[in-house]
Amino acid sequence: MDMSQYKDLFVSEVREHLQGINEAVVALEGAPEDREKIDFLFRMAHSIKGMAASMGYGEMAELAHKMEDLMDRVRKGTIGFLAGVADLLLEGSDLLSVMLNDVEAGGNGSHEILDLVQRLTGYTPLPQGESPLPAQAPPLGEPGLSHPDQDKDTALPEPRQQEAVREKPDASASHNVRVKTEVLDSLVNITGELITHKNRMISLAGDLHAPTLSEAVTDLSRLVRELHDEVLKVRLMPFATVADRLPRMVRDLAKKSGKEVALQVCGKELELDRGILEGLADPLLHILRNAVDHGLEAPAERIAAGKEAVGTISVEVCREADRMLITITDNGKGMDHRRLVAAAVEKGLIRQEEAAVLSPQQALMLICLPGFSTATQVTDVSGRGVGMDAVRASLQAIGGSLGIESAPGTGSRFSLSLPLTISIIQILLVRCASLEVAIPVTKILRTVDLRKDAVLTRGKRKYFRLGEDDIPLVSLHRLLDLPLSPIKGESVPAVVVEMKGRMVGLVVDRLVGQQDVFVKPLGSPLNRMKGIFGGAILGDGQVIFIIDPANLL
Amino acid sequence: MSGRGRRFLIFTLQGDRYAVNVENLSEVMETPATFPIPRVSQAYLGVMNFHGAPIPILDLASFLSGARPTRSGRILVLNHKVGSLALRIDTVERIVSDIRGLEVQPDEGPLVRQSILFNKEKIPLLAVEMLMAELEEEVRTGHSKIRRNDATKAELQ
Repeated sequence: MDMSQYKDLFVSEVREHLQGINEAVVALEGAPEDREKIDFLFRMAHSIKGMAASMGYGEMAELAHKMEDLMDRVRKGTIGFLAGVADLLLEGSDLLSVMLNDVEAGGNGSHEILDLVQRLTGYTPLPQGESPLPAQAPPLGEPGLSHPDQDKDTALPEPRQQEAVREKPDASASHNVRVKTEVLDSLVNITGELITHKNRMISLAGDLHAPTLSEAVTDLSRLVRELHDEVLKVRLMPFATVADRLPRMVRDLAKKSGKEVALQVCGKELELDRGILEGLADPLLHILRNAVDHGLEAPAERIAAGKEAVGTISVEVCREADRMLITITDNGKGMDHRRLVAAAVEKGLIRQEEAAVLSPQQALMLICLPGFSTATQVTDVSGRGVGMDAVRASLQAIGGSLGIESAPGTGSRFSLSLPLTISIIQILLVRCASLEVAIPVTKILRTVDLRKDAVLTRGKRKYFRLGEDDIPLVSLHRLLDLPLSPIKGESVPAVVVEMKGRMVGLVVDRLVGQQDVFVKPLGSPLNRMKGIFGGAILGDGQVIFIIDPANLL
Repeated sequence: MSGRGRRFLIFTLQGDRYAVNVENLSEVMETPATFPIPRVSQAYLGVMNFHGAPIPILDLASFLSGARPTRSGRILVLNHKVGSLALRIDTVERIVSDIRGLEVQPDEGPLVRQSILFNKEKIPLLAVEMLMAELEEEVRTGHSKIRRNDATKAELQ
């Protein structure tokens, strides 16, 4: 019987089961007597065994069978849920995941399993009496038991899935449908095109001065808006898609660095656009790595500082208007802003006179400068690969921003502010010479229309006063390589944005207006252009570019 | 192997003949309405709305020789697998196939790795991947832009 037609479903379901195993193992490490979780683990292994056998993937079935047997011994009380059991199950889950990837890529899921099968079958608690796992914190590393791929086990898997399961927390299973993510992407694209054409019809109706047509277009606009909202809802996925992988990841990181870490995650049920979740995974991973490796102290150091041996990292998600806020807080050693400033000056990243005027918050943002790192040694956990500059750039690429608070001895808090969606956004259209460009509204702090006498000069630099602050004025013409034009009229329009960690007023010729646009990604070669976020087509057919002010310099 | 062999479009640019593999093209069209592109060299005529996608148009003659760009001629829209780009050239002459006694031989020149020998005439074959690599590098580095932005950075400091 040809089972290939069921392969996608098999891959999707086994992947969910493996994720369930990872979560349950980590949860049992904190509460090893949890009978429901023990039964759950047994059922998951049993289900994978059955599904793999029916699809003809014998080695996957064999491995899952041995994991099921081990859980059966725990279920019957022959052995406790010990650290060794947790490690073997996670190792089995990792290996099954590798085999599943092979199946997904068209292979037969074949892999060397003998060694692990023997260890699963022959598992006995350590002779001196392997103690049951402690509550609260994940255990320290156990000698002799390691994962087959030490680097892989700290990687945060992509939230991208072949199929998205639309599941509301209170919805019954019978109301769920599986939809291929390509279909969801296509729906968003078609809706985006509808928005472009709706804008075109609004423009045409205005030109024709036809009231009946305008009325019809208004009705159409309302329907397109509703369709847009509904389609975006379909693309939303819970933060749990990413967050459910974090406990396992933090557990492995803690083991590697010899620390004890308790992870708390709140707001997993809140939903974000799938594209945002994909873009969020890497920055979140890096911040968590830093928190475990550099933020939290070793147990002895914490005790000496009067803290509990177990460090805490909390990830909290909440919605604020049309933004999603994610805060990652640790109660580790924190950062000293004066030390950061000194390091930045020493590395030549900023000048002494610039350092003198930095606020503590601006000083903390120095860690996002390329080439900045206060880590005294590179470790296996962090200190290599992307730095905080890449974290900030990744967040900006999905329309997000980063804030940092920290105090020595107390800990650090990283605040990520993200839009709910990236494909259809609201922009402010501005004119500079012959060019109209769009700035995402989420990047704009405010717009100002300055009287000419409000434009002040210090040396060659122009600025204006906003409350207590001097806000430098920079010509957007200059940033976009356009000819400078003399200021006409009595006022100077400017858009206040954040650049290089400070507020800047971008001077433009005219503020044209706001509208929703469907972001069109730019292909090669224009996608290499710094500071250009994408393109869009307006109602009159005009092609415009969407700029990312923070990356224009 | 396809019995049709490779097909090449022969076009002219400032009086010279060039060829491009038809596999690299998706459409030949008249010059459409264009809109300005920020931060690129003057060799770009602008960006067009190509079936709902923003596609920049590069004046190939201007890019190769520094000549002033012009809107006359024809537009070759590249296959999206190659890049999101269209090329302005002067005229399209014909499409030839390598099963008609046409030879492809190594050659060297700006954006050229091979030539085709057709009717005893050696015609340089545009190496589209080289062109894309050069354009990406130019857009990424933008030498002249960096000088101006350095001045702006100084303004902020």
